Amino acid sequence: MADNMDMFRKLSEHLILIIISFLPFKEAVRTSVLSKRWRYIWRETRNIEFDERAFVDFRESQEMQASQRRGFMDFALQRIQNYQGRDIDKFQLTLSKPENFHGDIQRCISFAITHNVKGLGLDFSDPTWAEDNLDNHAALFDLPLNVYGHVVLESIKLFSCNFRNSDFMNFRALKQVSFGWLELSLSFIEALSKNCPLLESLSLKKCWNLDHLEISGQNLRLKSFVADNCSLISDEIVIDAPYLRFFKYSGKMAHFEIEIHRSHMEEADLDFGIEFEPYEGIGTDLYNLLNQLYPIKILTVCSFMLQFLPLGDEPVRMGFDMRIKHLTLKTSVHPFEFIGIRFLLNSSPYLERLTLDIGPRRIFGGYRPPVRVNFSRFWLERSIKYKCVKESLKVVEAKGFKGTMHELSLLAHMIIYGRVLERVDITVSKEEGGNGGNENRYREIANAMLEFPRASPILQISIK
Amino acid sequence: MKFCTVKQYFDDENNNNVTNGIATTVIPLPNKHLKIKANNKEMEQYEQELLRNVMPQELTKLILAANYLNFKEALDFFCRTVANAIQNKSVDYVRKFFGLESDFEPGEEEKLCKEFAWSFEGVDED
Repeated sequence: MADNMDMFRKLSEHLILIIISFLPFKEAVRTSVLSKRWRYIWRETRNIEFDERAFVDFRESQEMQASQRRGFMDFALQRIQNYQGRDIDKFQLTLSKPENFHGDIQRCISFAITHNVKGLGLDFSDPTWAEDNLDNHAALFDLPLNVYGHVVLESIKLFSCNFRNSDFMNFRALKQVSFGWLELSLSFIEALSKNCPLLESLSLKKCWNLDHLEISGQNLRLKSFVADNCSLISDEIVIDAPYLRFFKYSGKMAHFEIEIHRSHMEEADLDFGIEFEPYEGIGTDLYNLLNQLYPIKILTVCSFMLQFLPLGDEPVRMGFDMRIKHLTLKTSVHPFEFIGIRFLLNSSPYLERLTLDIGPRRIFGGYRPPVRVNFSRFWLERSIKYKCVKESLKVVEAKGFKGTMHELSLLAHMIIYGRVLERVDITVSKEEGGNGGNENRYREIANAMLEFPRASPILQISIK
Repeated sequence: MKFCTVKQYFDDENNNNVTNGIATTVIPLPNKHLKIKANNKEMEQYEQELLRNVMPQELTKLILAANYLNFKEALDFFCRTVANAIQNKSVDYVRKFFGLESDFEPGEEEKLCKEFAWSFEGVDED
């Protein structure tokens, strides 16, 4: 203990401030109660985020919310008035119903600009807007004109905040761009890619009116691309990005044409959870998508993919060994997903980490497995083994464990056959289920797994 | 790397503050950093290992070393590691982590907590 105090006393306020700057704003504020020395350091943080959700309770009446929102804006205004530092790095304001606060929002934005901010984030979306339907919501705030003169901006996030396409081209230094809840045109996206040679990350969430998605361009240095539930006029996604490392897509199935480079592409996250109309041939299309993302080392897939990927021309595995080291399955551990899980395990002989993100998923009643299977013996079939389970799998995580028979048999397989398994981490679900299921019951069932025979002598099983 | 600065650092801190552990962690850092600079996932895993194996006071030593050596990326990395370690933790936990004691007058601390009540929602209990 004394050792701790000696060491940390040596940390100058300058260094403490660096640590605090990495905390979310809300946490940075909390450091003020640690001790007299820490009381005011947080005020100098160069990362300033004002988020109304810390002040506004959306379960309250509209009048109460409006009053809480007023209190939140007063706090923000008071903070920026008393700011002592010179420049700031990041300024973010999250506020729904901006129509009542135009002047105050302008003051916040001007504060950020005059303090030479590098990263500006404005999120005027309303948390009550549903993400999984087709409603589009008109933006109620326009980016003020003084922002367009701030050409050194490196990172910008605009959610439900209109801007002028041509003036936006002033921002030639942009590295990160994130748009949400906005109407965008394909020609704007194309112009953006050409105009910002340093662009590394582009994220589009719930945007609409795009004809289709096309991300390409000479000298495109894009490393990360996210398309989250955007509505496209024609479902076509064309990507030609040799430096792309990370690709995340949520939405309906589309026609994908993806050109990436094996030495850069690392991670993909594919979520077709919103899809409800599987068509003939969808299995083959899913296979082709995965084929185009061939070099990935980290993959996250949804239940839809687990159900339909093996229904194409290839029911057993990809035609080549994938390099996947970490696989995350958004699953409900339902028998209709088993063949898809097997498909991915067969295709990933170097898999080191398997994460099961267990929750309710859309299971398709019309599903027919490509081969005859006995689902209740699926994971305990002694003849079916997986190379990755025997040779490379080190960590298995199960989040949202409810102790169903299928969850148990899948995890049992890993424990019983995983020769190099080091950890199995179970986090039980906090939901109450039918049949009197609850946290304690799930934990009881999880504890039973401690008795399973283990192939790996160093295996540690943890249950939370 | 700046070898003369490194040598100077070790000569200065000759009394007892520099252990071999620090040297072996900080010095190879530029190479490791360069190798995994582009790879966020591996840095995340390295950070997890660091948190698991290294005590808070060691982390401070790493921060001080990186600061002295003017090694910005390492400094940011270690500071971010500390920030992640204390994120969402209770005031008592963070005080213990840094070896701090509350030196407020009675009532002063309550006043502060009240003033910033909104920032205390959703905190992990120890």
